Amino acid sequence: MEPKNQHIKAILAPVRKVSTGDYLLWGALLALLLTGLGMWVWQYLEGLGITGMNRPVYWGVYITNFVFFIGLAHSGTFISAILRIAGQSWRAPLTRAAEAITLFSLPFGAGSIIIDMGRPERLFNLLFFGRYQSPILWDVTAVSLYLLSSVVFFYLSLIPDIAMCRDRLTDAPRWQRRMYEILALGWNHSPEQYHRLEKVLDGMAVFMTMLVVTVHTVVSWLFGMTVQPGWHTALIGPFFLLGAILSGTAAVVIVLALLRKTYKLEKVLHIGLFNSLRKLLITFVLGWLYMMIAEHLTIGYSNMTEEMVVLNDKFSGTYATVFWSMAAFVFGIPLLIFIFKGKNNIGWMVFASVLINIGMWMERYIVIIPTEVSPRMLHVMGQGSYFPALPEIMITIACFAGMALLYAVFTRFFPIVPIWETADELPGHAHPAEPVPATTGD
Amino acid sequence: MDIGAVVHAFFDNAGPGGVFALLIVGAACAIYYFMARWIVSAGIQEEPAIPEEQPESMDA
Repeated sequence: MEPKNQHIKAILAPVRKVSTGDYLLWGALLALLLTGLGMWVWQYLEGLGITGMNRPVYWGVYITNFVFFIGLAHSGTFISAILRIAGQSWRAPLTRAAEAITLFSLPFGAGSIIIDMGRPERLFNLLFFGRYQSPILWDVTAVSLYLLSSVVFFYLSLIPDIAMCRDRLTDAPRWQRRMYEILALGWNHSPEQYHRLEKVLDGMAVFMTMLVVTVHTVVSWLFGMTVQPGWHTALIGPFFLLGAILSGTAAVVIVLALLRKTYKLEKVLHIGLFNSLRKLLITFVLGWLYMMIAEHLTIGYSNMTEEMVVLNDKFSGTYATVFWSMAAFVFGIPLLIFIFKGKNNIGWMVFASVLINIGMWMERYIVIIPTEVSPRMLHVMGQGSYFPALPEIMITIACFAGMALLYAVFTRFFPIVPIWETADELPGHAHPAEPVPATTGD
Repeated sequence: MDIGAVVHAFFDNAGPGGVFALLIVGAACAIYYFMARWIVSAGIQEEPAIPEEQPESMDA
């Protein structure tokens, strides 16, 4: 017997049809993705010389994208795993939408490293000659494990819903029905299956939470373990982690609003979810501000020559416009919106969340580039300069387009709201799977 | 046996790092595979046994 869910028709409605508009959107995104792929082939043939990177700026937009996409990926784990452990039942309708962000942004995060290498075949050198002295190897281990675990965590919670698609979407094309049949792994909605699934997901949630902390801390250590101004600080781990969770949660707001509008899921993705996310975002924005002040005040107060070159560059030099715009986008404007306009207003919430994500990308840029331009031993390395070149810009656009394409295609073949997790009654359970909170979220 | 030397050699030599990374990811793959099997197998165990078709009697 399958779970009873009063919204099952609304949730499965987007899965039933692929419209002309979908094909047009997929085509446009695919064209952008292929353009980026073409640029990458050009870069592979010509070498990294065609990018804006030079000596001593060895890391540019690609590494910015790497940190940003890995950060974005934390949304799914945060919403799904951390809130599961905390017993926050309101998260149930948005878990899959958030986990899908994790799943589809991670490949572009990890891929950015390969793009940045210029010679992707040298990735094998890490496996054959890798030393655990190198933070790069820590990173490869952590990100690979995170990607694998996210896929499994996502897939396991999807199995009951795939089984429902298999049983209900009998008018779907033959290949699609076959796909559901294979992916459902013979799921038959028995109470014991649900019992075991919940047990495993609870256990995995604890492990995934540890992975989130590990992965983004290790990503930050790529910078922190070098003795470079602006990077060599113990605060960089938690600072990166908090920024990641902030941008990820803001991304969830954007995606939820799009899904709600496009697929007419107003009753399932109710306003209360946005109000709950608003409270979380206020907390994260303030936490991020605290980290920002702690980091820059400590560096500024020490007044060390090499550190001050980078700090002055950010505060009042070449990168001042980017730095202060970033501060306004991540902290100033969103906080005002969340406090005065965001409650019960999805439009304002989305606007603030878009600003946060633009600001967070700029924040990653501002962490990397000024240090690269003015490294330690400036007299030996020389003052650098950097501006992204065409391949870097096009590949960046392609990464975002690729992520959007995967997301858009996924929502047309699988339910983006978990049916069984939002069910009124699960097989073998006397009570609802997750008690549904008040609709306003307050 | 000098444990310190072994630990030092692990960090200081080319090769073992990559093997270690592969081992971690490989072990995770195995654990996840058996975990998924364990979850799904609950349904198979609970399915009512279908009585086997009796062969037609030769006496009939």
